[in-house]
Amino acid sequence: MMQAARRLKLNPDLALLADEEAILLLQRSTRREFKKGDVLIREGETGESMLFLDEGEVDVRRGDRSIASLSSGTTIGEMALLDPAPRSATIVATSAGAAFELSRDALWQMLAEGEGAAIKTLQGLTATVCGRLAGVNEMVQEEVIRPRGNVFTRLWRKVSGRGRR
Amino acid sequence: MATNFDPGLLRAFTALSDLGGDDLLQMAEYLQYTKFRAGAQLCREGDEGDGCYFLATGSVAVTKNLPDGRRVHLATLPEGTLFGQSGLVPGQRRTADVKAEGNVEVLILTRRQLEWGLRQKHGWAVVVQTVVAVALVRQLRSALDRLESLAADENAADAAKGKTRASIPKPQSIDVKISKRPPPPMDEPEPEVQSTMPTATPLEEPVAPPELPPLMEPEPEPMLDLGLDDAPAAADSTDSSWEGLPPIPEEDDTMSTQGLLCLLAETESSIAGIGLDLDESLQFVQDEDMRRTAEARQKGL
Repeated sequence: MMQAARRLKLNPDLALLADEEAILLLQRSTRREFKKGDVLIREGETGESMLFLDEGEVDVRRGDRSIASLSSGTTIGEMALLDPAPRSATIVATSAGAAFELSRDALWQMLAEGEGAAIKTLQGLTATVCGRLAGVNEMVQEEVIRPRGNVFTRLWRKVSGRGRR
Repeated sequence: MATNFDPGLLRAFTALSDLGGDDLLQMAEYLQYTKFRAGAQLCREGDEGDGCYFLATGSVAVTKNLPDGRRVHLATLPEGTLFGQSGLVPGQRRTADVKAEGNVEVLILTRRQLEWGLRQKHGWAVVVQTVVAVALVRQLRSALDRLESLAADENAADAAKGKTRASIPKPQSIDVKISKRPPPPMDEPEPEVQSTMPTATPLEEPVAPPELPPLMEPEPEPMLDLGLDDAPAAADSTDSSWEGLPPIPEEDDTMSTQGLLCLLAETESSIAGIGLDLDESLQFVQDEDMRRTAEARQKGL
């Protein structure tokens, strides 16, 4: 458990946790072992939990496209933990391994108990989501400030040295 | 114990509706009550935020300067709104300007105070943190959805050689409105005339002063100054900055730009921590390309 807790804390979302808090978080989670090919999360199903990938590797798929592969130490599905919604991707194990699943109920119960572990988890996830929003925003801004469709655009492109994608 | 404002003000916030009277009383001790005069700037784009605002009375305007000089009006927030939540997250910068539209009263919760409340395991602090987290998740989700659908639209449009782009449906229920550049700086309310009236420190805890804009910061400069930014929108404009520029052809990808601007409004608002309801509260600026096109045509260029 200690080793898993240490790995958990390597995750930037959860770095604030003290050792004993990380252990408590894992104790309140369900450990799920999986083998290669197992589907851990299915796109479209309503999720109410977050997975912490302790050992092994998984593939993130949307439709039949693989969009990322994740290895141990990663958290998956934080958004559903905070606000249940259909999963946006399928997670398939590409090796044998194990994950801890923290349910929304468990997190909320811990918050109601005033557990520092839950509060810090909430803070960490808030920061992560906020950072991701900032990232999305930057992407969008890149699009928006690349004016299109008029002479201003072309001048701007010329001056800035930027072309169309 | 005593605060310098009526803790009953907190009942106006639906975000706090789960909290009982005792929780609200306790929370009030962590808040800073501040008044701003009309035109005062509460948040400045680019500043590192250090807290969020509960808008108790009055309304505020949220605007943003795009790097190309365009200024967009993202939203007008009514009283009862919680905004600037990203200021509760370390290292996040304000991504929009927020100005008081009339005299406003706000209750400021600094990051430090919230963190202190969380360390004390106060129920109100957990509720606030949860509300903020859930709001951010929803905003991120909808931003991602839109980004994806825009990408799909663009792909479809590209596949049809750009001809279908104009038929991409406009975003629903969005008022399109041009937001002019602000008047010249001389006429603008000076940031420092805003009156902040914390009559007494409401907290036993030492608190940081309310977030005041730094004095006399230069306006962000457009990346390319063609003199367009101050061009009045009026039809009888005699603005000469367009002289010598060739006519602006209307191309069929403006819709896509507008869609992106729309997404920008949403994501920016998210990051500014504004619970923006696109259907109800978003007044969006029209793609200025279209305005410029119209202007240029009127001048017979």
